[in-house]
Amino acid sequence: MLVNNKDEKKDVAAKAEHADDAHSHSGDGAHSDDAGHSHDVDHLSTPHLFEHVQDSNSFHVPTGNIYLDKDNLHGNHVEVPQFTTKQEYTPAYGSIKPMTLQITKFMVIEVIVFLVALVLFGWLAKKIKGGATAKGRIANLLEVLVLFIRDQVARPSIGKAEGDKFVPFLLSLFFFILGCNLMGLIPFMGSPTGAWAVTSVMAILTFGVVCGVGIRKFGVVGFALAQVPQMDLPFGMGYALKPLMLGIELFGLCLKHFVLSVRLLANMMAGHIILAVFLAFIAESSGTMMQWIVIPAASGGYVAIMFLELFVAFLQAYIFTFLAALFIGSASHQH
Amino acid sequence: MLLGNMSLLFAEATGKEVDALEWSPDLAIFTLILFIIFAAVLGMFAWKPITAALDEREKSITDKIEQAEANAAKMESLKNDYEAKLATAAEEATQMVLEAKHDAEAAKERILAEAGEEAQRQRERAIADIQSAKDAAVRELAQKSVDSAVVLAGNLVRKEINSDIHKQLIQESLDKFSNVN
Repeated sequence: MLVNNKDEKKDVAAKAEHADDAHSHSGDGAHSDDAGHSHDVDHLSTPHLFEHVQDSNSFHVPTGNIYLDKDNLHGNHVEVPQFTTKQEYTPAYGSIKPMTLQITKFMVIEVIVFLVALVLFGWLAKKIKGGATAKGRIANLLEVLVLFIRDQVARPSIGKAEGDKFVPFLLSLFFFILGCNLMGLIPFMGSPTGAWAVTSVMAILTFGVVCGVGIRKFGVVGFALAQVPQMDLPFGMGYALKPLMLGIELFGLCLKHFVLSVRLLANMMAGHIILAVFLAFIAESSGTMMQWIVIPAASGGYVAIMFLELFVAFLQAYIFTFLAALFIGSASHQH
Repeated sequence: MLLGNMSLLFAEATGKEVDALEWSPDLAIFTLILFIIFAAVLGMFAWKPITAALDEREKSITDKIEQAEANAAKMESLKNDYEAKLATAAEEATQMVLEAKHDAEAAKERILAEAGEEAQRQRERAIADIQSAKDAAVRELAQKSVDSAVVLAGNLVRKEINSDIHKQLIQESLDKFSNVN
């Protein structure tokens, strides 16, 4: 777990305060760490790290000089313009937050992803219209990705004739997730795929497509029964075991999609928290002698993790799309 | 469950609830609508034309390969035809040369034979000419001899012989000559 226990035990009160009003309060002596210098903000606290990864109503951008302007160690928050005043329309329930009708950072990023994808692929479509060859690096790169989803994901998992019908859905899934993942690598942006609301919607849509395919092909009952594996059971045993297995398999079907959403969420969130931790090391050590060791080490680690994150961004988009294709494939074939 | 436990762990550690699985209905609804628009708009302006273009390109490549294969087969058969034709032509040429040689040989034989015959004929004619010339000469010599004999005899007998006796004498001499000869 990404928690620094020592600090947290010490500064529960300070952190609660910080979380409510992280960047406006000035030093009150409530917090002083082992290095002997004082900070208003505990950069390594969990809420603070999560704040950089999770959705918010503002973009976080650097401003000023952190040495001169200690009160504003964190840079500025650029608020997303709102149409409504913040109000809770529904009660919170467990992890489900209240509905507020506020425009958030992730919504803005999703729109950017949509527009960038539309421009890039609209351009590619024009370029290769009528079977012309893709010329240039960008066109070829985009085409390779499109062909990869069609030839290596859709067709082997679903079958050629049927797979081609799902290529547009799988392409949308892949490029939307990839775009959201990659946005997290751009400074001051974030990964919408690091929010469960986003990944769960992707998984629910996939679940809907999977059920839709199965029901269209075998009917509601046929699709449900197709989940039970074929077995040679002694007479009578089938009546006892098959309903149980049906229950388990249907639960398993839902669970597969739940895991699909959590896998993407956990991967994106974990990567960004590690990046936030490296940055927090720098912030924690700034102004002390330790910074001369910590800053180069943390910067190197940060760059290395950025490379890893670049790989993970593609890998997770691929895994999500590939599993979606596999689920669609298994729903459209009796097993 | 899993969600509750995670929230609780963070809450215990920090005193402030941090939930990795926090689920915002606003973001979820927005994402759902945006993704549907994303899939619809890109489906219309990107995925559909791109896959159509890729299919067209694939088809044109397949067609071109097929055409190239057909062309290669055609070329092969043409090449075979030409090779066969060349072989026939070479054979014909050999035949023609042989025939020509044969003809020339025949012509040579004929010319030689004709020349031989001609030579034979000319020799025979020459022999005949020589024979007739010899006969004529002998006859003339006989005439001259008779004349001389008559003149000599006339002189000897001093007696003039008339022309009829002369002629008779000649004829007798000739007859004798011919008989001797």
